[in-house]
Amino acid sequence: MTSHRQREIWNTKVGLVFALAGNAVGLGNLLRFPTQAAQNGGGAFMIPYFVALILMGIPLMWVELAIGRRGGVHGYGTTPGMFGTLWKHPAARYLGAFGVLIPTGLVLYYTYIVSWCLGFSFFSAAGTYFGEVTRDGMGAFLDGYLGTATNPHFAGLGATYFFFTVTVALNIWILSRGVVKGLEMLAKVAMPVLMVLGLILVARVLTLDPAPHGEADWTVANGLGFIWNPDLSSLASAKVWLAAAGQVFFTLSLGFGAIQTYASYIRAKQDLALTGLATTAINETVEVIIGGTLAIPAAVVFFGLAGTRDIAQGGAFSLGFMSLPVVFQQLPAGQFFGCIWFLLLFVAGVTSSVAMSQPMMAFLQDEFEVGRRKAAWIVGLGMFVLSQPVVLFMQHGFLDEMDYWIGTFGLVVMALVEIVLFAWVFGMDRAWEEITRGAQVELPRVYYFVIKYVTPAFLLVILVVWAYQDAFGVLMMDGVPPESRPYKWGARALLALLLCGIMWGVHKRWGGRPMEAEEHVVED
Amino acid sequence: MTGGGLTGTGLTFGGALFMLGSWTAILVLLVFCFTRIRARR
Repeated sequence: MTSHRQREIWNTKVGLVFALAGNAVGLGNLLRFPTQAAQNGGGAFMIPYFVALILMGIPLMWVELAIGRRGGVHGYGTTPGMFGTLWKHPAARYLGAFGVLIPTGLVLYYTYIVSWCLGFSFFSAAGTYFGEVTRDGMGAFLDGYLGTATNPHFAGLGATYFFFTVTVALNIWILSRGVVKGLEMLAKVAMPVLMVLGLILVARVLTLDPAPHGEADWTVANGLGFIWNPDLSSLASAKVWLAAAGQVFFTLSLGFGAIQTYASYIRAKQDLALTGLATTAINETVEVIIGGTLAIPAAVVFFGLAGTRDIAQGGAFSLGFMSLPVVFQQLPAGQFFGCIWFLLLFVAGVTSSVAMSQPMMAFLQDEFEVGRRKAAWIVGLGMFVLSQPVVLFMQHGFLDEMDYWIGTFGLVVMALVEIVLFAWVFGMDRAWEEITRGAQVELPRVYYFVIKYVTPAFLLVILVVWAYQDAFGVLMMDGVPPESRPYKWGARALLALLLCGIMWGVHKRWGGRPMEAEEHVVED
Repeated sequence: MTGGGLTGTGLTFGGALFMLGSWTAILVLLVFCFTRIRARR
């Protein structure tokens, strides 16, 4: 079965860049980045962050765009087909199955988290949590919303399911409209809205009254210093370098399989170099300029330096869903600014959740000739059904287990596999030709060597150190209470089930077919 | 490990230089990319 379906193509260059930026910009930019920066040496974190961006992030972005565009030219929208064009071996298709598993596994819990943002935007506007003026109080509010603890605000999971259902329905609607009328249109509306909402909040944070509680050092300047003052001693810490490299992965959506799918809708001779740089520039504007100016400086003004350090150690959810709502309650027009903050997170999250859903959409459409609307309903309803354990077993670490194997370890493995296939198996000369074909800017030749040697080495070091430090302990469930272990096994079983399903699809589509038999190139 | 500015010394000269330098570099890259993209439309 070889699909000769006419594939959609991005309508405009700006629309393509906005869609890729929407793919990359997500909760990681606004919540994970400031938390990681504050946990890992502030300004010292930024030095390895920028090094990782230049040596790993931008090259990998070009590699994923080139793999995707090449796949699209051959009629493939997902990595099983794409890898088969790079390596004429049947194993290539099965390796590519991970590029469908990762975004599909991610979307099962990412969309759920995005729906919290919609819920909290409503709760901010309605003032529902106003009165919970401590972080512990907000923590109890969040627990009640998630059904992990009893709470006077929520009788059950009704509100949770309402906002989750609305978010899933919105995803289905956007996906069912296709690439140009759905994804591109969303990006053209969402990215400017996101920028405006972000700048409103930046203006508000930078004009906060210093020391509202009378503490002299609770100021925005100290908050910015927390993020930017370099603590050069941290540069010697491998942990800081790994955290920075990990953040670059998450923020650019690398290793997800989603960039490749978006790139498969690019014209055969359209520029990739400038597209990748523009996508990175938008992403870094939202992350470094907007994300770095919002949460941590605001937290320092209201909780002080030591309090903010504790918040950052508590993680991104502690910062976004427990601490900032306390801040909003102390601001004039706090309901408005709270609503804007969570709406900002929601918009950033939705542009990413549809991007994570698109690989499975493309797999169904390109390889099995499923219609667009039918595929959107299959993906959306499948997501809703399979995410039920994430919703119901949240307190048992079901989401955390999926996030570790899919959203942390899986990304690095996938990125390493794809760059080895592209730069070494396919061949660096051909890879360089793929990346630079149609380029509107001349790429420095040094990147030929960076992509061939430095980026794979960087990824290998990250993988080995993470495997040594964390993976074995997580695999053996060190420190996991016995009552939570069945749920962790359940999360692994769900991922294994998904992988088996995708592998079965790969087998049904390509099993036993000679690799060279179906090379068909879609002319631009 | 703590934030670099956890001493409460505000945004130091080095910190301000680093912050504004990073912001400028990102915005210059953004403007460069979109100028080229629109010019070749």
